[in-house]
Amino acid sequence: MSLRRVLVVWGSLLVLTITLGAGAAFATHRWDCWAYGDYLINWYNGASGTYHYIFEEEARTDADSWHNYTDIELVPINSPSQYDSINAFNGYYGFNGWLGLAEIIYYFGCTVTEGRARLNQSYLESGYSRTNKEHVACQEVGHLFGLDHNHDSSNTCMNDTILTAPQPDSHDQELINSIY
Amino acid sequence: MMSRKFFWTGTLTVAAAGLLTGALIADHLLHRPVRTTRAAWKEVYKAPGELVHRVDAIVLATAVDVQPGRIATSDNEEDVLRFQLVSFDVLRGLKGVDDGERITLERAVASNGGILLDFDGGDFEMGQHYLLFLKRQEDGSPYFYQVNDQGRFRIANDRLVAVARDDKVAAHFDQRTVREALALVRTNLRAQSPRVQ
Repeated sequence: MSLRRVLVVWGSLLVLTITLGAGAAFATHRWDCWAYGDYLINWYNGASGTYHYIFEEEARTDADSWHNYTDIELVPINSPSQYDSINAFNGYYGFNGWLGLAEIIYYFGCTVTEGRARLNQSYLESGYSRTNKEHVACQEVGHLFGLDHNHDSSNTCMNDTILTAPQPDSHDQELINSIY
Repeated sequence: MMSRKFFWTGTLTVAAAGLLTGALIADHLLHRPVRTTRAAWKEVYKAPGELVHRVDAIVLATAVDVQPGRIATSDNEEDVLRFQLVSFDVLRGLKGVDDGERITLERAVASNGGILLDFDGGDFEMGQHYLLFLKRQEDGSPYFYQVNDQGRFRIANDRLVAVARDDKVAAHFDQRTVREALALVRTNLRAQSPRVQ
């Protein structure tokens, strides 16, 4: 094979593999580079009534909760904290188009030190089932671990186009376990 | 001429280098925090026709004023959200609002400690033109809200810049000229089905 033909083959291969490599890295549904420092994360459940139980089930106690289904270990604490913690709340935040919010409050580089999950009762109190509320709670907590929305699977709470899958799926599990 | 062994060794090396380079490029881009907030929006659309039909108002407008708004707290009062009221002068009212009207949009702006929220695209720039897809607040208040992150585009050099640049619906409008975008809105408004185009 002539040198010129070999260089053409190698050049094409280089372009193809760079594209494949970048594509594989982007297809992970990560939320930028966000992640807690390690798998042990403080968990403050400041929600009230039904929302307290919903957050608890989705984050810690269900068999398919983030705590039980992935390598994450949530350690309950009794008051909100800025240190290596997730703080969860519910409230009538008003009619602004969102059912839930996940917010990185404090961070150092890409390392989250305080994340906050909110459920908006202004909407969720009317016309939304318990499953819908669980889906949103699961999604907000999942964001804080470093996951983004996922439109490729209808079996994960990280899909924001549905409200009927209140659990992480095996892709989320693999992704979380690869981060932590 | 080169030996077969040299060719295959070189090919494998090039392939490995390419995969590694691609992954590093993507990793570098991923490791630049962009936004610190994510929302579970009440409505997320699967087609531009759906976006156009389901909102209450579509406007090409200029941000002209911003004022502090209400303060909401969590049920246990440990969490605080501050809101702001942003006023816009409507240059083109494409749906639900007339040309020349002034409308006001409410948005969450900061949480405890004054930390700014950016899940909707962040603060509006005063004097800047936007194409906005809006809903009226469901409690009957006079304010609108941005329907989701698919529904906000900044105008830069006569082209639309989406907030949700990786979203398939927003991508239909992203980087179009204002004229093209308005034509796309009008085409979808004329269509019967909410899932046209």
